[in-house]
Amino acid sequence: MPQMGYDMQEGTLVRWLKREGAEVKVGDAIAEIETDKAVVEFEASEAGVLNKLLVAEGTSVPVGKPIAIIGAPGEKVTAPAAAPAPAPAANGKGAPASSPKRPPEAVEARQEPVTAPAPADDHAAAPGEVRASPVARKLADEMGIDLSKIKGTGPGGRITRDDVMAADKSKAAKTETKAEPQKPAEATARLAAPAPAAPKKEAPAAEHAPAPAAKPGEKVPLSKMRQQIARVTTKSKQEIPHFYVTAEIDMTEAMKLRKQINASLESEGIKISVNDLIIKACVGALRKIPNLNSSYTGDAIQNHPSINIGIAIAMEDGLIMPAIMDCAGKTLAQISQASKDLITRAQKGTLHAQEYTGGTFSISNMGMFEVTNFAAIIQPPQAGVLAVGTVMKKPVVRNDQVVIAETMNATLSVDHRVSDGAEGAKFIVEVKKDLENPLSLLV
Amino acid sequence: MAEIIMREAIARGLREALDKDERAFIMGEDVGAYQGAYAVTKGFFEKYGPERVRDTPIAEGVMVGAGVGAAMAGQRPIVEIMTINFLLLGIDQVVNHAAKLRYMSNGQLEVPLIIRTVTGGGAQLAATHSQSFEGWFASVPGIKVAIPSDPYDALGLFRSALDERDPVIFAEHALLYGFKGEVPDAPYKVPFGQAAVKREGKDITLVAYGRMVHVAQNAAKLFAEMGKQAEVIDVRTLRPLDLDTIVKSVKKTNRCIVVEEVWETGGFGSWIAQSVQEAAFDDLDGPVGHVGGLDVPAPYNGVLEAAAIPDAKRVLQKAKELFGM
Repeated sequence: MPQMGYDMQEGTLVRWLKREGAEVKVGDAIAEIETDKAVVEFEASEAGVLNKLLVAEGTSVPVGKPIAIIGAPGEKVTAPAAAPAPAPAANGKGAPASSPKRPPEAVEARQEPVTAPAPADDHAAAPGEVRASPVARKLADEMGIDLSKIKGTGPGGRITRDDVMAADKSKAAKTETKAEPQKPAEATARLAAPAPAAPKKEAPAAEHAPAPAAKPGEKVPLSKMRQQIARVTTKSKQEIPHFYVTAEIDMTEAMKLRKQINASLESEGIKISVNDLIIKACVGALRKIPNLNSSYTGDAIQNHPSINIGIAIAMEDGLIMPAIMDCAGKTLAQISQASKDLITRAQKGTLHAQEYTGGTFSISNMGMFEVTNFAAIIQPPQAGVLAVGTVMKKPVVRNDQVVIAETMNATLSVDHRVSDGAEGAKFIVEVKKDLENPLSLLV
Repeated sequence: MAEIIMREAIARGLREALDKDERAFIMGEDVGAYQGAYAVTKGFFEKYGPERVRDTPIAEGVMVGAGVGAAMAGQRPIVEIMTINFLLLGIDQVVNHAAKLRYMSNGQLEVPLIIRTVTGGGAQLAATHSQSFEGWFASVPGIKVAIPSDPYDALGLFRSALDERDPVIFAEHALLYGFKGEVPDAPYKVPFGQAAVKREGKDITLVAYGRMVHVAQNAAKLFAEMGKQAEVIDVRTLRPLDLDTIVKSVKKTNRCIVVEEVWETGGFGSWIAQSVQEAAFDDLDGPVGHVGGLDVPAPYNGVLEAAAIPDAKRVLQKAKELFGM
């Protein structure tokens, strides 16, 4: 394990970039190593064949401990006994070449006749190695599927085309559920302050768990995504003075309109979700109150020329909030389409960088967990986020009569450095007005 | 449109050649008075006479050599070599003369010679009369090699062979002469260098030529019983080879097995397999398979002979071994 920083004590081997048996040149990246500061590619400082990988991916290794052996092709190698205490490679030099017969620097060994047979059975996959057919690799890449999580059914355990397709199918089934109108809220659940109530009639809770449930007493290292979520939410809550404004919105008309639209556009394959209506309403409100479509920059408020609405999308081990770009000019149908496309591509991992970072305002929808309301954490550098609860039937007073209406609570979180309560109230009332008179969303 | 057997399709092509082009003539062992060892030229001697349907001595080197000379001199010779096994005696004339003259004369000479010959085994003709050498010839630049699998292709390819300005080996499989198929009355041609998708499927591509196309078709039926759709590609001409059609198919199915009758070692199919894996590597779900004849002299014993020639079962075994299908 190379020392990749003056105070580095240990590093995590994130990923091998070369397989066992691969030929390496000086300067070839052979592994990704995570220090406490960054993930860095580790380059080979010696040429030869990567005869042995000594460390499994994901393992944390003290600086100076060998992680791999580079030697001559076919050279017989044995892993050095525990902690042979080589001098820490302070200059970032790689794993020492090592063999029972030769001193570590035996690079020229390659020129000697090598008679030792190549180690290992050809068909057995080395630990951590993924054995997949070329087309399986290609498809997995396109679909954003992690091959290391698939079990191969081909000869010798090879992951085949059909294995990837099957994995994609089961993933697609999940995605479909997740893509349901109100589902993105699931993601927000983790951004939002109070933990959400357990889902009632939706998929089993395990499916919504962000990561494999920890066993009692076990310490589970953070995934990359969890680290990112931790960083962003902490930064947001430490730096942004949030304030919150809540309103109850009568969704009766909006639900009716949605039904009508979906019935008439069914043949065209368009299906508007409640979330699409909320996005459209927010866009309208942001056009009237552009100050909430801006960022606090320390000495100024930077208004954004386009309205890019971020939506929280659940991922296997966390969530992301990619944005639907340029919503101002989009019709409801276009927003609906863009939203579906965004969710699909988020699951496939084919989002554009701009979509990850380009949001100017976000919506967090927890509709599918029967929650009345919650407050969401602002995604910096945005100035606001709207947290939406479940639409539920409730007695309300209309024209001095108690009637049954479908209502929903929405809570706006605003960066107080950018705006004040009055403007927040104005915004949420705009959203309310649009959703309660939903025809305006179609104009 | 009429259903005819392959023997009749080829005879029709030969008659067209003799009728349309007075420079065309047939020569070979027993093609005349005996009416053809495989009866393809039945009735020809009577109709066209000994000048245009010429019986030759048993001397393949002379027969091919005379054909090369006649072609150079502006005639359209069609030489029948009774079986491809005997063409070994004429191989110097084919490889060192017919195939080279255009090149070595800097285009001043051309050799529009058609060599019709019978290939393949399966009729208990024993080790020296049951071989498949069309792939050997196909490895030589300067020669074209056609090998039809049904009457339609036989006539269509033969018509294209007549248009060729270079030597053509036209290999006819002994067991296919009686194979029936639809042949249109309207004129048509099957161009060289254009493989045919004989059956469409999405799960595996079976590439074959000659009689092995039918073995591939049988394998496809067995695959269908397993719920898998095999695509069968008939190469039709080994040279020029239509790799595009094959690769296009493999990119769709992700799996490929090449089936041929010749010995697996060094068979032409291994060249096809090699070309496919280079052109479609990223689309493959497993190695490109190659099923050929067993590496033994063709046994005389019928049971052993059948065991040495690829059949549908071996194709399925290979698919299981390589793809777990």
